[in-house]
Amino acid sequence: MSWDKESLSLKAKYFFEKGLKEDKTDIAFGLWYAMGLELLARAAIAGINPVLLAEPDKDQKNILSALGLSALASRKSITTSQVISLCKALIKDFTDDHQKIANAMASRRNEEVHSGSAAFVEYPPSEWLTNFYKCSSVLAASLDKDLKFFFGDVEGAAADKMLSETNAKICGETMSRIAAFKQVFLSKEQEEREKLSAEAEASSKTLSNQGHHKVSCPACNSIATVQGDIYGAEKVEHGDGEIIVRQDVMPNKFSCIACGLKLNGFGQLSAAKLADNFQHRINYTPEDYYGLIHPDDDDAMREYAEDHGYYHFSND
Amino acid sequence: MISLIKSDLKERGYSFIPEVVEYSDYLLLSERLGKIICHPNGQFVDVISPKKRSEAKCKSFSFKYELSDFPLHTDTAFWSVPARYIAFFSIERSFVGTKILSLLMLPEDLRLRIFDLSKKSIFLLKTPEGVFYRSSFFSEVNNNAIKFDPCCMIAINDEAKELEQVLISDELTSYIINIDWSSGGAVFVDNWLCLHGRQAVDDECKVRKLARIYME
Repeated sequence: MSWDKESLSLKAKYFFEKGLKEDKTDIAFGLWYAMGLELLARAAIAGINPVLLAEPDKDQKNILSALGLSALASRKSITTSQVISLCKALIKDFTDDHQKIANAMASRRNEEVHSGSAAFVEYPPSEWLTNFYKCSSVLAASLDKDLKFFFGDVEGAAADKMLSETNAKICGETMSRIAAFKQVFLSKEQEEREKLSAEAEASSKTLSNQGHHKVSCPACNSIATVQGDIYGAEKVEHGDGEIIVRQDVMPNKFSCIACGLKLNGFGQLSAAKLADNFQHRINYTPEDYYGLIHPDDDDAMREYAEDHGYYHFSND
Repeated sequence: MISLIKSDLKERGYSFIPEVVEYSDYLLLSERLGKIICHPNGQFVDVISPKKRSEAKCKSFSFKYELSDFPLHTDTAFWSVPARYIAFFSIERSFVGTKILSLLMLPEDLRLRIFDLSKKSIFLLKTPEGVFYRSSFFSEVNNNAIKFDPCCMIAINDEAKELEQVLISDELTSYIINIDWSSGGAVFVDNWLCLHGRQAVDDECKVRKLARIYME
């Protein structure tokens, strides 16, 4: 069993990379991230002293092994909650808040691994991802690393942006705004409210064909939409006679036609729990995706030949 | 001569001194270059020669590659900090050369690409103490360095696999220096900034014998 800082850090990074290869809506994403966070916390403690990870016992066997003073076949580590408590005690910027976040992730991970519950289905990324990065950022800094080291350039930059745009002031202002729009909507006659909601639903169907993503409005519960920025690499899947291209979108704009509520920026959407990443999905035929040309299509063949400097011979 | 070696190491990452033909001179220059450290086999000076699998130690390069080309690698990559310098001396002359790839001699964009991949790489490193997660990149005494050994390092993430591909690609062939041992000599290599390997051996060249010293 290895308690060295480098091995634990790189294993955490590897687990995060595995998570990032999954859909963010998939339970595997949450599980890899939760396991990675545990390793990151252990790496942070190992960076202070690996002996801290040894489970105390009356014969000091685990501590002696950690010090290299005995060749114990299998040494035992302290529990994850103990590791997190040590982070709170020993890492200056690791606060009560970070402790709660880390314990919540560990608890979900335990539930996912030890029970039949789908713990991460009931706990979507919008409820934990920003806090997760908040916690990871402090642990990474204790190892003289940053989020880009552990999560890659693209996700690391996205995480930094999430953190910079999410703070208590934005949260308070957003909740007040939602409450205000809710009050105005509820003051309308029921018939008018139902009409507005129906119009919003119809409009959302059109907008979803234009890359918008349907969500429930936090003020009036009508169907509204979010838009956002595409990031990361395309995920290409070869289906039966079609090519499906998916790309992650980080939402940054919300609009509800029914009550008029608009939110801008990841921070506001995160406060309203509307910040779950979604995906654009485009289906292509193989011909369209690969730019295939049918040999019997004379016009296309001629155009291709002209574009590429070939001579097109025909038996006609 | 030691100042020439140090200057070469700083600029090019290696220094080939064909004039060094006496073993005692080789030992003296090695001592002056850096503190000599023990090989994993407990010796201060190791003597290496081509071997077939039946004659080779388990998990060694000879065990895996026998008389074929040895791929580019870092010696002692399984140490937490690999040996800084390696000094080779030709005991028995041979036409089988030592290949050296110096990161210092690569075009800047290629060198930066290798370092970037190395920093993001994750390998499983097999050591006598166990298997650990390790990066190819390390930094010691303000020096950025890389280590790579296909015998004990298994690439597990995308960047590590890409780094492996770059290091075996034809793209690097023109930058590989071949040390010709046919007239003897000694070569001093910065093991943190160079990878080295061996050309393939045919039966006639099996007499090749090199002394090898590691230095901090």
